[in-house]
Amino acid sequence: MDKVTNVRNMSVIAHVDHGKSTLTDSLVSKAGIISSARAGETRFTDTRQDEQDRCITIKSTAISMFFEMPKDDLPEIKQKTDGNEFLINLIDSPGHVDFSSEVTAALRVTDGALVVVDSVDGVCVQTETVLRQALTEKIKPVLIINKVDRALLELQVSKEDLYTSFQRTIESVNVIISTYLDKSMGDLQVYPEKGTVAFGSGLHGWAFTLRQFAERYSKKFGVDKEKMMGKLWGENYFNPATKKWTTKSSDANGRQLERAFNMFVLDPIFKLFDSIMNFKKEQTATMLEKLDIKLTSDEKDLEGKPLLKVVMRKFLPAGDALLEMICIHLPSPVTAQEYRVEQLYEGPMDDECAMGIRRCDPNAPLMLYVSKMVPTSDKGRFYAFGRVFSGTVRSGLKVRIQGPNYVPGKKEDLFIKSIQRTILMMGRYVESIEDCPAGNIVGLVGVDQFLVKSGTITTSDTAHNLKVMKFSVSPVVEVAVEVKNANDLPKLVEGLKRLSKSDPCVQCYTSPSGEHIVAGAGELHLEICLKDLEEDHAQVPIKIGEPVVQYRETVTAESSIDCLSKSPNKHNRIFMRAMPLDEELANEIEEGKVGPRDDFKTRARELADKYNWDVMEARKIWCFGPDTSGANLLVDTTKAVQYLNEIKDSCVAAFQWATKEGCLAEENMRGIRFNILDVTLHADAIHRGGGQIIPTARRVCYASVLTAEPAIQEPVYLVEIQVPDSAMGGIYGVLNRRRGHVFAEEQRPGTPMMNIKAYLPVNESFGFTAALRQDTGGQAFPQAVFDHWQLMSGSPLEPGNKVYDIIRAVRKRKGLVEDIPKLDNYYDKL
Amino acid sequence: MALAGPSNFSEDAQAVIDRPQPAHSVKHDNIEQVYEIQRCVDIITSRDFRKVALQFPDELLADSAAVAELLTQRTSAQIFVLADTSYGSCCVDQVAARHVSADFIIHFGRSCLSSVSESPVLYVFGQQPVDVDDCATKFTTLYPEKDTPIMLMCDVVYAHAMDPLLSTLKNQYNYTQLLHKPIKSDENLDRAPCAFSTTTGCACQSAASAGTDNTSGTQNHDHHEAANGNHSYATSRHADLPEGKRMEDYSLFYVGGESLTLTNILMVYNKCEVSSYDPVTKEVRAESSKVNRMLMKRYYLVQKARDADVVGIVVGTLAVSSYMDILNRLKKVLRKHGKRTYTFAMGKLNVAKLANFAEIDIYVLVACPENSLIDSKEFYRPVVTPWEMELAIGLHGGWTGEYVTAFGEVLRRDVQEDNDKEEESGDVSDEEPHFSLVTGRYKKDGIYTSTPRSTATQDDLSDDLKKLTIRNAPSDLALVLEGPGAAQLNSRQWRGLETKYEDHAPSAIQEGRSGIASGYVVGENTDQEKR
Repeated sequence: MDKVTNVRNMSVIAHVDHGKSTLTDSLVSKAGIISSARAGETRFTDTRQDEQDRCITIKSTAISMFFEMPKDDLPEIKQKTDGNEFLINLIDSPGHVDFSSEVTAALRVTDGALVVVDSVDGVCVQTETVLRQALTEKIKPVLIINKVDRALLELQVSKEDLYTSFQRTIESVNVIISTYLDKSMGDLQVYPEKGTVAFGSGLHGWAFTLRQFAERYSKKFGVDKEKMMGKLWGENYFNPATKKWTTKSSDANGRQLERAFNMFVLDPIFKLFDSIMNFKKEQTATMLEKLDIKLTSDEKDLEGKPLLKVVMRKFLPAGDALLEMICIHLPSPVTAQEYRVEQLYEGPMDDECAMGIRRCDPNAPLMLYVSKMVPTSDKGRFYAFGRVFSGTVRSGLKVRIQGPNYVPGKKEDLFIKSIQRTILMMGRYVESIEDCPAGNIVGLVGVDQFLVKSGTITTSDTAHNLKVMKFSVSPVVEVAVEVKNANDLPKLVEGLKRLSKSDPCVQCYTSPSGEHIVAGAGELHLEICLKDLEEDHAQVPIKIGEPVVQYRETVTAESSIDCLSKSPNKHNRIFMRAMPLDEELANEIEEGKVGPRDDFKTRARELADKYNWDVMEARKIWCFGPDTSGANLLVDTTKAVQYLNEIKDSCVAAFQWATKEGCLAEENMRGIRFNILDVTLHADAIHRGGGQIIPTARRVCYASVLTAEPAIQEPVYLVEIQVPDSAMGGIYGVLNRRRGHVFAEEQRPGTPMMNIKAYLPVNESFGFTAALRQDTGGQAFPQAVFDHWQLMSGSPLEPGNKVYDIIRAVRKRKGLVEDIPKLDNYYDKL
Repeated sequence: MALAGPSNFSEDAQAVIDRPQPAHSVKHDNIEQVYEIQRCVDIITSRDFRKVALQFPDELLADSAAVAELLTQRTSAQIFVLADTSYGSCCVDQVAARHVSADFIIHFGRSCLSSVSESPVLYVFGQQPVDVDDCATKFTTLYPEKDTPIMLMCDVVYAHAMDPLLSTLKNQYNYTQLLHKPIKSDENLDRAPCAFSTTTGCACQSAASAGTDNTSGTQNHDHHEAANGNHSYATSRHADLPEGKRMEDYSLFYVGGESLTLTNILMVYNKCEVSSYDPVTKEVRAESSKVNRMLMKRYYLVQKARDADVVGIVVGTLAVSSYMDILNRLKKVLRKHGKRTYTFAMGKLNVAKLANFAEIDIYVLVACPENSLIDSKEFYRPVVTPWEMELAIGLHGGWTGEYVTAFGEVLRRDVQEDNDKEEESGDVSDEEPHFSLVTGRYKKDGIYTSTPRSTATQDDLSDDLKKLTIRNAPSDLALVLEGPGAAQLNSRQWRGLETKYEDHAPSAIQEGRSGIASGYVVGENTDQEKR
């Protein structure tokens, strides 16, 4: 642990059901924590009962393991090392898209990622999402193509087909990686010939990289190992007749040559499979001898699949292949933090904290990022799980706990407390440790009551925060919960607090109508959260309402008139018009590419170039809203108005308020630009104070929305469905009934599986998975992730369309008058 | 509440005079009967009041002249008409009455019946007709069981009809478990300035004085024992419950239309089934369905209040007794819980007034029960009641659905619970943040106060200083800079007139002009030139 160069922090990421947890077992067994026979079935990192029952990972789980590398392999490692003992901190993450916030939390604390891809399914939507996330966090990926046994046993593909399928998968991974080229990290693409791609089967517990085969053959051919690795992939052929290597696929006589990969790597495996599965005992025995595999007497009695498992596990143990790939190719914290520091730290790059992080210095001030909370056996308490980026954390150390809203120099969201204990996370168990130096992943006791989900822990007074994580999913589905028995309310409140701690993504809050709302990324996510809430966190019976979605209020045209509102004392007038923002601009604002903290001149330039804004107007953007960062803009387009800067703060406050609670249904506004056209103010400062301006500015915002053909936007999922083509019909039926539409459809080459991409309104997604399973005989597997906001056609102001009904329903649910307030309430005549 | 605020200063005076006022007032024909003139006359003459103030709400103002005329004719007292009260017109405007040093106030129209701290008051509600038979018939269809425990309540304008209704129901329809809350229009009549009250209405005061260290200056230091038995204090309407009965066992039957009174009753008796009979439309309605919704909204406000760092206490009444007590108590407990308080007296609330103070996170309105519940949707910052504020900081055992609007009742609660709290607070760490349900984040308390310990010493200090009649509490520079006002100013982009330090570099001293105004001389040269 103290030898930071020999630490590897890594996460295992993949699409759901591609075998992350199973593969992790191989490593766990290699470390001697579980027996190798049970590896692949235990799913050691699935610690929760429901994870075991559903065969799905819900929470990411960390485990620290200690390995020794064979000494001969050490020179292969291209970074600084110290001895041959390695500590691997591994985090197994969930694959279901609803839990991808867990993946984000895992990625933050690791430097490398093991990307698992199913050899049959290939790169799926979630593979892509998590891989992209890893790359934005500057995490180095290595690839393993899993479930090769399926390809061999179920699909019975030929060697060449298998090769092309491998190649295709690797290519599609590299396509994604190449879009994130970063000079500081070097080439991140994965190449089998460099040993950054492994092939194997987690379930059977075997895997290999070309390095292992190269090692075998290099002696035989007397070729250098690295050269051999290059030969074993791509357009390299070996002519057994001439005993020569060539790059042409046919020999001089035009006879087809066998690809080196197929010949030297796949052939032994195919033969083993063939002989064992077809019960060719003698052939098996000779092969085993040739490959130097020794079986115990018990194992010799096995037949068929069990025998295959044992043999393959001895032939190509997965743990070895993975360990080698991890230790050789994934960066150590020292290597990684040097280029990650810019991504991690909010403060200046030359202060002591940044320097400490860059050097991964155990003697620098402590910088620790808590990425998630892990429940303890003690109800209601949590371990704060995070990574030490700089300095050393030890029990009893007095630290500054900085929440996500901490601003350097202010007291908000800051606590100064002592760390009670430091621990090491070991899957289901924890182990107390004395201290933990930079570069390691650690659990802390005694800080959970000061942080909700994540935060920075430091010993430096001047430290800025480590950057807040950005999740790829957003909580768009919400339900109201209430207690069955009114006296249990305090327990529910406590439960909500714990729930929001235990999950990085879930949001718990009280709506203005007084309901307790739990918001999650999707149906499954909510289901799990609510189950946890009822059974673990609150432990009282609760009533759960219908799931509902949030809408966004927007406009589709410029206001038809110059809207005017007068202040309560009638002495101040504000003129305003609303107009729609470009959808792309709204997206950029939401992604944080355009934001309130940008330099206003460069921002204005960009708006002018990209979105045809007037530069002068673009410079006078007063603010973003709601919450000072949303996708609505307040723009000053007035000319020479006296005292205008005095009322700016009041206008901004009113704008934040108005965009937070729109006039249609008190939903957030989105994609609206408010232009202040003109302002008349009373000459005395006392008569143009906040009291006069705030209500007026709010009213004029509403008036300008109501005159600008208001509309609502609904959230839409991107759904990716994998289904055999025979069951395609059912999918179209279900999607059509739910206002969904398919926009891409492709067949995976060599398989009957179809990949369908469709847009589906979140509002229609409740029960979608179940309906889909029903209509396709359980053969379709959808993955839905929030994609964009979509304008709903229909005016909320005129009866007789869906939007009108939705608005009324929302208003009713919120306890408002069902009719949208008339324009007269906000618009004043001159 | 309407957006339109006062607009006294104006673009031009004529416009103000021409502007129609929204309050419309209709003259009544049967003044004699509606305003119970004879009763007023009897009381004035029998008690020999010299100066009588008549308080009218806006909607009855049209009749004020006629009523005053009648009373002047029939009594020898000097009659004054009070109108446009500074707070709710349901409360007795004692301050206005004192301006004319009236020794008796007759309050006309709807009243919240809050107990009043000084001077005798007679309430004249203005009686409205009720079809007692129809009401009784509707009542029987609503409650077919003759032994259901039912409490009758009414709007003040129908109070006169309650006794006939009660007897009809008891005698004709044989209801056994009826209970009526009598409304006494002369409840505060016997109250003389600075005299001990004998009416039941002041029971809450006695509790108040027992419960808090009563530093305030309310005149009625009333010392009769706190009421015993099953008194229900939740509003100023009170009834004696029979032994062994709780309020929850009763159904409520309310006579009257939609009004603040009904809302108030719904909130306070939220565990009871409430039905109402509207004598105007002659319809019966079940009211309880919406109460849950209302309570939920208030619950949200409690959450907001919990998050607030800076609390504005708005004085919404000067009439209701012991308002000073609650004010002082709020200040005390809020400071104890690390919240800054500011006290505002601003007459009738409106949006524009409250929006002037951007640094306030939440307002607490100290007013009579019926004016306390403000739907603060339009307000920039929400407005809560003292009860809600105290719930928010964890007094009264947290939110249980129990609801109190009258702050007299809030004061009374203190007796047992403040002591309990004192003991409990030992094991709870003050610095631990609480989880805010509004934002889903952690909220640290007391960011504007120093540690509780030093606050305490400061209290002592300022108390001592008070004795020496030094007005300003000690406030050193650091404290001032960390206050909410400073924080607010810091977050503003416009901070008043600009201070351009760089443009004001000290300049070298130059010799100025000298002489008298008619002929300045500048320097030596000019001196020579002049010669």
